[in-house]
Amino acid sequence: MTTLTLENLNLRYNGGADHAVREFSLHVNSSEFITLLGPSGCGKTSTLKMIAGLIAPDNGDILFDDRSITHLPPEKRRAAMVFQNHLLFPYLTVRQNVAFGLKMKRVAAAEIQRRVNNMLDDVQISDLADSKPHQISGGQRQRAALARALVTEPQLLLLDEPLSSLDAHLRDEMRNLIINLQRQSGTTTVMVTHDQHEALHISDRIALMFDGRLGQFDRPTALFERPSDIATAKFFGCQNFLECRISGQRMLCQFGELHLSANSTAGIGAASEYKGTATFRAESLIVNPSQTSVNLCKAELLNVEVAGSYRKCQVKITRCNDNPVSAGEQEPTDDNSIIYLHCHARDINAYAVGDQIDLCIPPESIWIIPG
Amino acid sequence: MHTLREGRLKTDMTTSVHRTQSSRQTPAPVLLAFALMIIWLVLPLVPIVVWSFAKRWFFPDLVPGEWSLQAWQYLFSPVSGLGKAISASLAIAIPVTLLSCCIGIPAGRALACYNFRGKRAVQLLVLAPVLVPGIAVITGLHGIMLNLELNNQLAGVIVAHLIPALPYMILVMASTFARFDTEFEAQARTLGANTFQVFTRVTLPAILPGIVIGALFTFLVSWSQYILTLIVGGGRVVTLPLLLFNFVSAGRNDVAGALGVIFILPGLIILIAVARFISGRSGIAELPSRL
Repeated sequence: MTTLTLENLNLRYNGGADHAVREFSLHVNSSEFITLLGPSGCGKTSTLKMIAGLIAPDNGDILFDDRSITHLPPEKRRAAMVFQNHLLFPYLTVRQNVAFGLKMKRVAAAEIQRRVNNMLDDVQISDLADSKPHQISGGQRQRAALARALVTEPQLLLLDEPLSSLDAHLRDEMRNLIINLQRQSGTTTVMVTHDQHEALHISDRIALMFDGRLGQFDRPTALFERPSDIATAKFFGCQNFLECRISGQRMLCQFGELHLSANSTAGIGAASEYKGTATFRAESLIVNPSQTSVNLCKAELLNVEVAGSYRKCQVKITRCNDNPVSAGEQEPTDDNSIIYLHCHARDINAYAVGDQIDLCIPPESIWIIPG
Repeated sequence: MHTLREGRLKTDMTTSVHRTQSSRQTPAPVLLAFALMIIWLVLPLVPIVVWSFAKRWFFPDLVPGEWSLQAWQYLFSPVSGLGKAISASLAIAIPVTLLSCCIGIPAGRALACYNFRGKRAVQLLVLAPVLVPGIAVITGLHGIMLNLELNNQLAGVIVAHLIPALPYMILVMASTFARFDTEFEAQARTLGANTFQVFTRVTLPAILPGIVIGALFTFLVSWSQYILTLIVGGGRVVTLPLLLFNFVSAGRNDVAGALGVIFILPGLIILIAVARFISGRSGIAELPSRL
């Protein structure tokens, strides 16, 4: 199928004063499903519209299969887009809507009939083919919109928040349908979303965008477990950050010395000693660890928040690896000796606010972000 | 054909249900106001019709003393000039309507969908012909028409009629486009439709109800124009209102009455058509598929 390459795309607005997208470069492999993920206003929809040809970039190049298509109008790009709001034509039936693209390309009527019928089967709305869009449900509309895009056999499928207008239970169903159809057709797909769970579930790779720039572009697990910068880590919900100096398999921070695993420092070079930021997820901490573990800490429970069967807690580290925390050379302020801890209710139910608890920061859960 | 008829039947059914419900709920004062309005609008039309069948009708009599078809016979005889007047009126109103569409559709879109420098000024200018009396405009316009040698002929009258007619078209189209999501056009293009196909397959069906209503009103504005036709046409272009005025000033109330009936016919037909579209809520939405 088709590969997509974006080279140094720039998009300005307000007469060139502000950047919506800056120096954006990306390569998407054939048949790959990638997601542009970022907070609202980060330029992800603008990027998608540039790929579709609905907005012209100020400079930069867009290539399908290494062939520049930046100068082509949208109808010649074969990049079908599904918008957030299904945008089914209200005066056409579902069948006529799905047939729209083929009709525009003057495909023979018998061929249109065959392909539309197959497509309607694939998205499981054959029985609604002769309904008008206002007569069917939101989920069915989004299925029809997806069918309308896929039936044209586009080189590229562009999805602009296709699930955000749906109820939660429909969203899972639709997400699986999108994954199946994408695998089945092998269409290279770019989706835009602000929902990290959606992105983590659905994508082969995720391109994180902040303020018009490309952040980390990697597989979902890598973004989640091995963020390349603090912004990425924060976006995926990391709350614990410790400035530290690393030397070999150990790091020195305000809690004293902590043990690292071999994987912890995979994100940085081979230098023997350097500064960095250590991060570990609130849910990776272990309450009441066995006393043989490393990175054992004592902490005071400050706050417990109920989140279903989980508890979101804040704790203040008082001793770490048998060193009193305040005794180090650094002066820990109240703020940065407090860390976040998410654990199952049964682990923490025995304690009340103000109690002392035992914790372990597992070395393999620590990830070092350079700088 | 079968499905079309079914569709219409359904529309009529929903409309009548809607009507009975609303009349059951309408409070008495509203009904009274409505009745007064009907009387106010319809009552003045009654004498016109009566006059057209009257031979003699003097003041204290409630109905004419003598009835006749004389006025109608005269109107349909070749000497009355009715045929020429109707064709002159149509030869002006139809081009005015078409030109209004050509200008009003893009102008309405610009006002509704785009932001540009001086947009407020343009909005005000569009409204100006509705607010400024025609007689004030025409004095200045007549000079320009003379210079362009457009006076005393159809072309000049058409240009003059555009002044009061265009605002209606532009305003109707602006409100139509305000309710149109231009993302539909973007969607169609990513599905492979070129700009022409986008207009004919996506935009036009969506704005057609607006165009129809705008065109009907534009036609009526031109159809009932008197003063602009008289001055720019210099008396050479005799439309229906001018002919009517001749008979009124000549005191031929019977012929004027008959002519008046013919004159208000298109307006009446258009009014009923528009009212049907507006009262049947699905009417407007389903207009494209009906046409």
